[in-house]
Amino acid sequence: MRRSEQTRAEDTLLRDTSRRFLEDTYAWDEGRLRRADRAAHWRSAAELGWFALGLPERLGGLEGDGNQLLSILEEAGRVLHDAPLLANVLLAPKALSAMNEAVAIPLAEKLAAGEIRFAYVPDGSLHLSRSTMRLEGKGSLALGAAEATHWLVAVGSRSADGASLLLLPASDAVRRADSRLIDGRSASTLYFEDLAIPDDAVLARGETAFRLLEELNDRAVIGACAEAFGALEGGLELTVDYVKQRTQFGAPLSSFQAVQHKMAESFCEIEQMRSLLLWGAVALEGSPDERAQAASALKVFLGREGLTAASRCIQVSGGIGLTEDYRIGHVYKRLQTVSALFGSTEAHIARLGDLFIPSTQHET
Amino acid sequence: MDAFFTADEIAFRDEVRAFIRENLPTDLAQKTRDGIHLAREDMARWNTILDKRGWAVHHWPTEYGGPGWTPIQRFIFEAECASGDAPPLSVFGLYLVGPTIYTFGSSEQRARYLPGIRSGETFWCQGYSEPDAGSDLAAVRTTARKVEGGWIIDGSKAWTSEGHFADLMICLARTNPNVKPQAGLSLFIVDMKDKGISLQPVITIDSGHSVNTTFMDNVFVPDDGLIGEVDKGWTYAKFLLSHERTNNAQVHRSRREFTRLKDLAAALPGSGGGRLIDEPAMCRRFTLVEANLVSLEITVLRVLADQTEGREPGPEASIVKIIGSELQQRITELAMEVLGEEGIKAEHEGDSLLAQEAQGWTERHLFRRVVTIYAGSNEIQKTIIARSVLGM
Ligand SMILES: Cc1cc2nc3c(=O)[nH]c(=O)nc-3n(C[C@H](O)[C@H](O)[C@H](O)COP(=O)(O)OP(=O)(O)OC[C@H]3O[C@@H](n4cnc5c(N)ncnc54)[C@H](O)[C@@H]3O)c2cc1C
Repeated sequence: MRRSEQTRAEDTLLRDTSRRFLEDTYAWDEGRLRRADRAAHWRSAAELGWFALGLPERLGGLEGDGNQLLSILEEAGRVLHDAPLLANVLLAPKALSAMNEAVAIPLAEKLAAGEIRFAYVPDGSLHLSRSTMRLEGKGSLALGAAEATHWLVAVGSRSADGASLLLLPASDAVRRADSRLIDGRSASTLYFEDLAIPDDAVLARGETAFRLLEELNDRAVIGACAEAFGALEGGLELTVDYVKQRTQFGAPLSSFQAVQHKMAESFCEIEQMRSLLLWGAVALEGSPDERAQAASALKVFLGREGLTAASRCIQVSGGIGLTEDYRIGHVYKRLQTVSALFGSTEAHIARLGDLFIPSTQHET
Repeated sequence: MDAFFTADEIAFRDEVRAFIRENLPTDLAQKTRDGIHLAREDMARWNTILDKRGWAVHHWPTEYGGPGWTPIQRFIFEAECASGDAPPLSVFGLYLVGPTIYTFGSSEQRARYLPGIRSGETFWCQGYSEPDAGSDLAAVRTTARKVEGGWIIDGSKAWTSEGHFADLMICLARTNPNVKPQAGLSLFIVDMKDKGISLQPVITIDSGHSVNTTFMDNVFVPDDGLIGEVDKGWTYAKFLLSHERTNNAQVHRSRREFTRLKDLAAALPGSGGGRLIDEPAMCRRFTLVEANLVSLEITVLRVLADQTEGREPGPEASIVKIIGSELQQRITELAMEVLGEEGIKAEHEGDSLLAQEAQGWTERHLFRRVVTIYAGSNEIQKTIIARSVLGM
């Protein structure tokens, strides 16, 4: 178990390689245009082993641990990565592990090689009829659904009775409303209108599916928070550098105590988030309750203290912090985006509360 | 809050309310609800309508066209305009330039510039800040050099709001480099059509265009474009900044937006089948904001009551910018929670209530990070309170 981010040599190597690769090929620049060829970038990420890392050995994977997986997402967050890494680094490997091996192995190979892409479609109001096997309703915002080849669809996630996890080939027959999000990423709402679902598209149903859906959503939360954390940590570094350089009243902004305290407060918040992320990393493999607690605690922290830390960075940057050509505003927008995805802050407060103080009804 | 007003004031409120109901075009109200950066024509149209009724420059003295209202009446008027979704009038002409010119300008300047502001025909922008002069405004480096018949201005101005559609700029420039920084500045009236002026748009994080960088290269200003005396610009600028403190609280806009947000949360379904606003967590957050909003309203009224009754406002006058700006941000933060996933979309499609309301809120939420930065940042305001109110 890892209780500090002071890492082992192989982890440092992974982090450093990822950072260098991202900074060389996918750095955020003022033009806001990534000059990188997105397809080539994805293939290079596959060559670095990013999509094999989360797969078990029996599926030809590298069986990396939670810390390693999250370090990739954190690094991607630092450059405000806009491609759908989360579903492919952290979620699809888990779903494939839960599948029949004969089907999973060829999919795992293609995922690892960067030849197929998954998108996670969180439940919105989806319902699969057991008798007719027809799917109805809409999903919640699905990152990268428009560019994915496969959709992992969470259905009926509110109760064990109606729960199922589906793996569907992306199809134009499904109505899709694509949106650009404020942080520049693309996401879609999928509308299923009486779509026939073949039996072999159902990866799990009932109680098994219910637990798997919880796990996938917790993974999505933890992974998205890792990306947001990377963005925020990079944002604080940028801001601290800026206030050291900018002078007003004949002195650097960093010499004013009000500015120092704001940065120190943000630092406190960021370090606490780092602690929660370490918990999240081990909890990825832990008990369902612990994983749920870690995920919700992270999500709540991100939506409150994380956003506050980012808004303080804008504040001490002054006017430049408000401009589209400067990075800090995009960091803020990334955090704002993550805080609305995979369950709102208030929803995670309620969930954490239920775990912390179980109601007596639940116990009987 | 009716308990705070006299019967006459309530009657006045009803009169204003009726006027707005009858005279505000519905498309203007809609535009005001939808976005934050209004077009010049839209602001001008409402300005003209108000001017016909004699209400455009409601805080100016009667000799320059003001209606002679008390500060409390102005509060009521502004509250009614906001709650009726009337477009905000351009602040620079009405709040900054008008008072500067009637207080410090010559009688020719008054005759020449005030009518255009009153009617909404001329638009102004404010050229004070510079890339290296933000909080430290006295660091202004733009220079004005005396020449035959006038002045030549050179330099660049940062963050010129509405500069891309303004006719004129009120510009702070250095006329004397040999004295302490505050003592060598003067205020000028600059024609934005001068060939020496070029603008570069600055896009803000809401993806909107309301600010610009203004480059001034060999811009000629005739002698009568100097406001007041040379080298007195700092005194004039400071006088005005301390003058309109309550305007920066934006209390009416906050009240209107908060009411709309409450209506939205009451119209949206919650997760348990009831209304979103009835969920305990939502209800609590709305209630806490309401408590803060009411206390801001009453604080602003206290300041205005002192002014109305001829007293110098007490120390509470210095807090309204801080608490008002923080509250504006809290309201849009709450809006983001209400909007959920719809709030993080850059564009909103469809005619659902949620999609229709979301566009304005998302933009506002992002742009409103500015309210704690501009008009004297909150850090600077807090230092002023500590020093001049608390004597620290
Ligand atoms: C959208 C927008 C519109 C604007 N419109 C106009 C306009 O129309 N006309 C115009 O003239 N200007 C305008 N401004 C400029 C605005 O007034 C300045 O941004 C503001 O004065 C802050 O200056 P700055 O951005 O240079 O920040 P800085 O002065 O660099 O300040 C950065 C941070 O440091 C803090 N700080 C600075 N000094 C101290 C200190 N001594 N102690 C403690 N903390 C300190 C500040 O509080 C702030 O948090 C606009 C700005 C924006 C962003």
